[in-house]
Amino acid sequence: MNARMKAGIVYAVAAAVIIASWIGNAAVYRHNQLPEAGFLQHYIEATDNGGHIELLYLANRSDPRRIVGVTIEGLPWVKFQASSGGNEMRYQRVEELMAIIDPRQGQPGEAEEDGPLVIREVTAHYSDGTSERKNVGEIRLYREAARAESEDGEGAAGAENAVVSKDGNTDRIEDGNTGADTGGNTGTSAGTEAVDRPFSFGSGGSSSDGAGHGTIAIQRPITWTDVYSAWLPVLGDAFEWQVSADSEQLELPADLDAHQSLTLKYQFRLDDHPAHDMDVFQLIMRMSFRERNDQIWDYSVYAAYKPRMTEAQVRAYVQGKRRERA
Amino acid sequence: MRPAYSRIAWGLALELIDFRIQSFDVLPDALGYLLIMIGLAGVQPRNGRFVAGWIAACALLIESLPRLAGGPPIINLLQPQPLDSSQWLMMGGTAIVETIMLYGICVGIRGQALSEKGQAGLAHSALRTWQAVFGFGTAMLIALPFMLNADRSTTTPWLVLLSLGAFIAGLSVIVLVRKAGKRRAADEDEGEEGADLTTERVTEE
Repeated sequence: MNARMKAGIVYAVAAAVIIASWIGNAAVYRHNQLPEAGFLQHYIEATDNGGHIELLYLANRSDPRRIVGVTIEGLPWVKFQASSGGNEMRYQRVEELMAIIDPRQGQPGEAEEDGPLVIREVTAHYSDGTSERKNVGEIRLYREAARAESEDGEGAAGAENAVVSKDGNTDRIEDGNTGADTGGNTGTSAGTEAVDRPFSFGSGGSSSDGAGHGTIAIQRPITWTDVYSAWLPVLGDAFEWQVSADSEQLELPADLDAHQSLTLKYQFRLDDHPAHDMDVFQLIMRMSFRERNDQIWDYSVYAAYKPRMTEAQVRAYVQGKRRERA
Repeated sequence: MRPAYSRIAWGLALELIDFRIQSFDVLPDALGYLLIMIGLAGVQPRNGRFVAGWIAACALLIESLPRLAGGPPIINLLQPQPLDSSQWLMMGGTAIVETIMLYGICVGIRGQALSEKGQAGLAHSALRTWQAVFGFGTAMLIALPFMLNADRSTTTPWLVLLSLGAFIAGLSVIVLVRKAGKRRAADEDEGEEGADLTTERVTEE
C-alpha cells in the first residue's frame, strides 16, 4: 500500500466519522424537539376576588420567539407577565407566567350561582409582536366577588387568611388579602349581620415535596359536612388528604366542639403518576361546615403543585407530544 | 522573503487573529482571505494544490463579506446560542473549506519542496504541519455537532482544547509559509550570490 492510498483511506475514514457525527447528532436533536411550543396541562382553581394564577409554558430552546404575556378573553383585568427569564433544560426552556388577581377588579354583577368561569384557551403574546390562542388545560375561576361585595368588607373572605403556596423550592406563608386559606360564609344571612365565624384561622403551610396543611381553631360547635375541589377526581390517588381534629382523623360528617383545632393535610404524589407528572395543579380544597342553626360556612385551603421538570420527565413529555403529532 | 509567501503569511495571521474593538473587527477575515488569494496566485511554480487553496480562499472571502459589511458576527463556540440548521451547515462548511485552503498551502509547499533538491526538511515539516491541521480540523468537525446534544459543561473543555490546538496548527502554517518564502528567496539569489551561499542559507533554516 503506497502513501497515496494510505492517505486516501485516512481521508475517507475521517469523512465517514464526520458525516456520522453530524447525521447522528442532528437525528438525536430532532428527536428531542417539541413539535409545538405550548402550555403544560393546567388544572387551576382560583377566585376572582384575589389570589393568583401561575402558568408554565414549554418551548424549544432554539425557538427565538419568547412569550411575554398572556391575556384571557373577557377578563382584561387578569394580565399575566413572564416572571423570570425561564429555566433552561437541555433542549427546552420553561417560562413561568403569573397573574395576580386584583379583588377590586372582580365583576360583582355575576353571582356564584352561575357556576365558575371555565377558561380553556388563552391568548399568548410573543416577543416578535405576534399572538396566538393556546390551550392551557382548564382554569376554573370562582366568582366570589359578588359575595365579597354583599358582605361589604366584613372580612368573610379576607380578614384572616394567608397565601399558602408552593414555588417548587421554598415554603412561604404570606399574610394578606390575596385569598388563599379563606374562611367564608355562604349563608343567606351574611349580608344582614356582622360576620361572626365559628372558627378562626390558625396556620397554614406547604413544602417542596408537595405536602401542606391548613389549620383552624373551632370557636363554636359545628359539623364538618363536605370537602370539595374540582380536581380531586382528576388526581385520584395521586393526591392524598386527611382531616383531623386534635390529631384524631375524622370521617365525613364530623361534629366539632369549641376549642378543638381542625387540620386538613394533603400530599401530592404525582411523581409516581406519569399521566400527570408534567401537569400543573392549583386546588382550592373547600371545606363546608354547618352550624347548629343550619348556617353554612366554608374554609378553603390552597394546594398547588408544579412539576419538577426533570430531564427524564421533559423527555417523556416531548416524546408523548411527538407521538400525538405523528 | 518572496512577496507571494509574505502575503499568504500575513493573510493567515489576519484570518487567525480576531481582534475586535466592541463589535468592530479591526483585522477583518475578508482582508486575510484576499491576501491569501493574491499570495497563492503569485506563487511560482504553481501546482494543483495551490489552485485548490486559492479556490477555497475565494469561497471563504465570499462567506466573510457579510461580516465585513456589519452582518452577523462570527459564532462564538464558547457562548453557544441557538443556531438554525442553515447556520450549522454554514459553520461546518466553512470549517471544511478552511481545511481545504490550509491543505492547498501545506501540501502545495510540500509538492514544491519535493520537486527541488535539498528541500527534504521543508517537505517533511510541510507534511507534519498538514497532519496537525488535518487532525485538529477533523476533531473539531467531529466534535462540533455534539454541541447540539451534550451538556455545555462537557463540550466546553473539549472545544477549548481543540480550538487551542487548531490555533497552534494555524500558527505552524504561518511558520511553514515563512520558511518556504525564505527558501524561494534563496533560490532567486542563487544567480547573484552563488550556490555556496544558497546551501548555507538553506542549512541555517
